[in-house]
Amino acid sequence: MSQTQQLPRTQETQAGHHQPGFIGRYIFSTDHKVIGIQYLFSAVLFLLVGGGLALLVRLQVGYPDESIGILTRFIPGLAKHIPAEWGGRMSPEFYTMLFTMHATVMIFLVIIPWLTGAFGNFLIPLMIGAKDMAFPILNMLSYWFMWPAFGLLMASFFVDGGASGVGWTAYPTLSSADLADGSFASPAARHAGLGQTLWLLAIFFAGVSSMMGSVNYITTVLHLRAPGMSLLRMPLTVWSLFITAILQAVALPALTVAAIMQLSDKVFGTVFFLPPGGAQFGAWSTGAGGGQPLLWQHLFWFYSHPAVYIMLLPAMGMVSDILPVFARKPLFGYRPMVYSMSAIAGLGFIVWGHHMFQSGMDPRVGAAFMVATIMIALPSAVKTFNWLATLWGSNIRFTTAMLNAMGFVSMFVIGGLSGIFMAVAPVDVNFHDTYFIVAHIHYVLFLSTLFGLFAATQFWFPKMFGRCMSESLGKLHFALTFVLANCTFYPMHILGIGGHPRRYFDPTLYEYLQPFQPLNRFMTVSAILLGLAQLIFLGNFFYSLVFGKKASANPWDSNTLEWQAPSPPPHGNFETTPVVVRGPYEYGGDGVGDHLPQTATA
Amino acid sequence: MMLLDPGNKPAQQAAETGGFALNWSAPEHALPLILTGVACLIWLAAFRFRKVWAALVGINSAVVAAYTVWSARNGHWLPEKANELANDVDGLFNQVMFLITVFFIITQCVLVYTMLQKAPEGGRAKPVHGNHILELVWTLIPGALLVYIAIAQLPTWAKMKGQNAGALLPSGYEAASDPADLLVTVTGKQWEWRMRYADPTGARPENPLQWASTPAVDDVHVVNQLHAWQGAKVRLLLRTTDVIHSFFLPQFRFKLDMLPGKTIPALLYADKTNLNPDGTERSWEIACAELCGGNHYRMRGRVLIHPDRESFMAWLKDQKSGQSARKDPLAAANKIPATSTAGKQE
Repeated sequence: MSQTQQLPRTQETQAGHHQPGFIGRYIFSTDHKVIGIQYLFSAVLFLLVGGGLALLVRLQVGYPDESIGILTRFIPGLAKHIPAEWGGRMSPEFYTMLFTMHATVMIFLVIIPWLTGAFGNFLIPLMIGAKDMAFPILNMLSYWFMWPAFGLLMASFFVDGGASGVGWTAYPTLSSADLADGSFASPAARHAGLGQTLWLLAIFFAGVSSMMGSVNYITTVLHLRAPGMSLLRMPLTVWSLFITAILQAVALPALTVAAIMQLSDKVFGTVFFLPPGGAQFGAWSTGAGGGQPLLWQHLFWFYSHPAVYIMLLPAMGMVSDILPVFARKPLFGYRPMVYSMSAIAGLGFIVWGHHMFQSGMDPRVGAAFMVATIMIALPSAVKTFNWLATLWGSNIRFTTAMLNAMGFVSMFVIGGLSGIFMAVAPVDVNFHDTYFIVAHIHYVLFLSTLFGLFAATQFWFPKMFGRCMSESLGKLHFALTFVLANCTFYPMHILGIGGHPRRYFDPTLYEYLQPFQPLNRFMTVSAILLGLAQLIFLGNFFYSLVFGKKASANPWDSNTLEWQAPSPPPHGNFETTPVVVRGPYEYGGDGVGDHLPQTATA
Repeated sequence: MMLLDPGNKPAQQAAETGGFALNWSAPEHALPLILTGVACLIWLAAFRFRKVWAALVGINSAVVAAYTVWSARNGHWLPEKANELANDVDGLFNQVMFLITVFFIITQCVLVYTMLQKAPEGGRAKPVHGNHILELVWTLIPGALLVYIAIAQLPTWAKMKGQNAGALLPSGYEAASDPADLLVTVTGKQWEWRMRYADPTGARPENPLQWASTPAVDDVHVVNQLHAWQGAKVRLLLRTTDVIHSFFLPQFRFKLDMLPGKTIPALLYADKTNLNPDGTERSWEIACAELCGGNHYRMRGRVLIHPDRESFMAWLKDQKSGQSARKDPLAAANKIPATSTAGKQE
């Protein structure tokens, strides 16, 4: 196993690391680049899992009466979830597990690790001219703490009662009720027993993992910047990851604490979320409680609303860096961009209540949350206008990364604008828990963040692996994903306007929902094609790893520091510590050449 | 009047259809395939004409806009309005819809324009780093519009929360003492709605909140049916015995969670009847909007707004006499149906 490949002596002494073996180099590595790439591979793997779960959800909603028994031929493990009494249909409990796990996997194991884990780790030291993260071992731990989360979630499908089926929001008392006999069974739902306990543990591990990352990013950005790299010369990618790390470090403890409290309710029989009168499940009654189910909602959304920005800001930052490179024009409004990201982060802490307008919270509190929520639309609008102004009068190079970045801008407009309805309390009350919300979050998290991630992956792939991804395949993937994602998610707005509740196993039971069923089938077929289109991305990714065109150090003529290092950068990143003399967006115009790297003294 | 059965589709129905037999000529199945083909064509064309990408983004946005308009005109839109409040809520929706449409069109047009624009002279763009005046303009204008949206919605929010007309800010829940025309306690439980009306012949309960948690012997119990009459202001007292449910009446623009351990008072405005003059009933359904377990989707109920108070009272008395005929009304109402057995028993 052990493999020795001698590092150049200068780098070894410079980086101050001893010579690691194969395991130390590629598995339990403390090198930020290897950890970033590990995160990237994991996230791509989990994307397949999360996407597969989503397709099963769509299959059920689109075709509630069709038999899907044929699936058991390919995945025998599904047999117990397609029981005989449902005649070839999946059971309603399995359906709830599917959407719960889809959300959990996508949020905690795909988007956050891909954005902050993969790109945060890989890019922050390179873009600020550092040799590595401030705490390399903590960094390694942060990656390996994600695996228990994944293992627990996947294992939960096979435990008694199955995986958690209480939604990723895990509202008590559905989630927290416990028989208190040591069996882990839940009186509220068969699929909220051991599965939910494992889910809570998984959230705990994912939270610890993210927390270690955040602390590391904040310290690294504050302390390890190269000479001349003042805060206001940092590329927006670094700014966005820095702000995200602060957001995460402050908000995440609320979720971790809430998860521990719910775990304690389930395992030790405490009553943090059980009301004083207890609860009655069929013939079985809990004892008296003393807590509040509403408390969970406050704690949960105190984290989970900022989490939306955690899942969006880094994509915004990366798009802000990619647009100027291919527009060959400076970023428009650097400072307003930084201020607006900070404003989003700041306001992001006081808007969680808009998830609770209908929760029975005092209406006056609702009005206060409404005002905060509506103001958060403003920095988002400012960012959009600055992106458009960056493109105005530019000389666009239509690369795959650029197309995905422009797709991000186009789709973020829809996701942002539909969010304004969430800030109109009387309208939001009606859209709450309907497909309108599903449409909105997918426009933000799929059509915005995921396009940002596709752009970023295509853009930084040469730096990570020394080879370029195929442009032709990349563009095909973009064209298909752009069209099919709109087909899959846009009609959900219309369903939601019509009052179609989300998380319904069989909407055709309702007369007022029956006219929407053809639309549901349309979205399902689109979703399956959309899923297939992602195989092009995966194919391109793995093909290019081996056969991709060799990349030079700076294939895109970019200014930022990572492109001054070789592709891929060696251990320790830079041969000599770079000295920064200007901002990152000097493109076009009257300068020498059409771009001026941050280190160029000319 | 027929009674809708919230029930179950027989499992055989699914078994009989066998496997998937998709009708590919149905528009909803053919269209995604056609659009996939269009995307591939655009991809091919872009090898020759790189600005075709502007067409992809532009056509996509245009189709999205056109489809939205088509839906609004073809009934795939907001549900029927059962009361005045629905007018106010939909009015807000339309105002915001108008504003965001304007912003959508502007931003998409600019984006598509930048993809089509000619390369700058000499191939190099002017190195513009920003513009203070522009930043101010596009901060202040949307800012003013957002402030307008925030203020414009307050009276409707107050009305939705049971305040008198003209109130700008809602007050707390003390408004539960508002003398409404009808008191109904709605208790959610896995997976049905239990409605409880005060005895129509007796005195009105003095303290609605207290009455909600302590049933009287002669209350009238009904399952999965909410009745009122046209013009009634109904005080709903929302409770749950087990998990969070959310009482959703789309036509009334009404949605409110039921929280374990709490009684949440709300006002429901029944301004219109759903009985047609010819005696047929327009279906207004109750749905649960908060995940409450595997059968969440089956918490279906029915709303009937009688044309006048008399026919409502006649119905209520009818229910009452039917209930008195049974031996022990309270025990009957609290009987646990087979569907709500908990996980342990299964």
